Amino acid sequence: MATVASLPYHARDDHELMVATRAGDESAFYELVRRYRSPITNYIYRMVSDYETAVDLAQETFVRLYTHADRYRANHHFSTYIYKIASNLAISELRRRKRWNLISLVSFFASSDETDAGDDKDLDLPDTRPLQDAQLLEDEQRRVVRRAVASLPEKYRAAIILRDIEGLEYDRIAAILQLPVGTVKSRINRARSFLREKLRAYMREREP
Amino acid sequence: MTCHQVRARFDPSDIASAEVTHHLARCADCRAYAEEMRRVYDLLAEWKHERVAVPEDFDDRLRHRLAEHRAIPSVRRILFAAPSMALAASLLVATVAGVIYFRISQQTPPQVSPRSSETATANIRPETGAQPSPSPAPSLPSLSESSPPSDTSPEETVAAADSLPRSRSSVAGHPRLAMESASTGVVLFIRDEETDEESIVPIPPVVFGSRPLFPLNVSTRLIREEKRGVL
Repeated sequence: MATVASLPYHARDDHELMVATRAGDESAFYELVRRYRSPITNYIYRMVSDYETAVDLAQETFVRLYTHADRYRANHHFSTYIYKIASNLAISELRRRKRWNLISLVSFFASSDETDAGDDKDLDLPDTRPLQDAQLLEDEQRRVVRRAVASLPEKYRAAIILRDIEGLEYDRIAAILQLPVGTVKSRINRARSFLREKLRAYMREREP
Repeated sequence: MTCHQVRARFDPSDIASAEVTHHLARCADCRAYAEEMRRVYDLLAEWKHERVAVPEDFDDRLRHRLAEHRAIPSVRRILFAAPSMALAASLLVATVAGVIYFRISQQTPPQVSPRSSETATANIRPETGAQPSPSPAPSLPSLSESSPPSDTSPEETVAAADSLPRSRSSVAGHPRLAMESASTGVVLFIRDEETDEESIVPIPPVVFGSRPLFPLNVSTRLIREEKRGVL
């Protein structure tokens, strides 16, 4: 019977890799990085709506995972543990932005057309390739949804992203956000109601 | 089940309970609400497919960051790793604090001689907020010599003092001194109880940043003057 240590890294589960990381095995740590770098970066990106910040915070998540490996307990899934670190970092970043007024919370519907035109004017180079209508519609839809989610308060944003985008169960979201399950359900419901209000005009436009 | 309860329980990402389904079947408003919520959920599900790529040098940057982290150990790590260093640091801080406290307590005389406390009573008033004493007396020559330089005469100072607010507090270490403070400075009124003579000593404020501070050793100075026989 093969012991855990004799298994190749890709064959070990997250918990075994984390135990090896705690013992100082860097290869085990980088196997965890390989598995989670994309989901964590994407999760943080949806939270903070900024790619560079998302990559930076994803790296910080792994630094904390490594340096605080001794604090890891196998009470929950490993993914719950790493999402908890990432959520805390993303929420701290959003609060820091709010504190320093780094983002301007413009009204979503009042300025969507104007700000889109203004924001993209200096940043995007003209793309001469022909675009399919379907692709245009999809891009527009994602942009509208991204802006609507970005306008949510951070406590609602984290809950709804973890549920409706990451597809996690309520009890795992509760463990990540360190909240009772009832509070998590309530926040997700509130977040959907907010989004319903924000997206109502857009949904009506797209009605056949 | 009320509409409010149904809306609170409706979850487009989950299978609706029989009660919710039953209510939706006969309530048009809640059905419209549920339909909108489903469309919001569908829009979010679409957004799920938009994924950003991780930069190719992600692992290299992480390695570099971890190396930096190892090179600069945090204070917390030092303290936890070396309890003796934490103990030494605590002792050093305690020693420095003790020395400072001792030096300060040495500067403030703990007691005033019976003679000096009987012979002089002083009131320190703000340049700007004090009423002159009931029987204003000319300054004693000796006190004038010991007072700090001032551009204004005592009379002018007292006149200017009338217009500003004041507060009263006792001077530490000298129970017979009272100090009235203001932002612009203080005026020391000294009355000799034996001769009933009074004199006025304007003391400019010590400005520290934007906050004027009163000379804290005013009572010490006064007592030193007394001991030298000035008062």
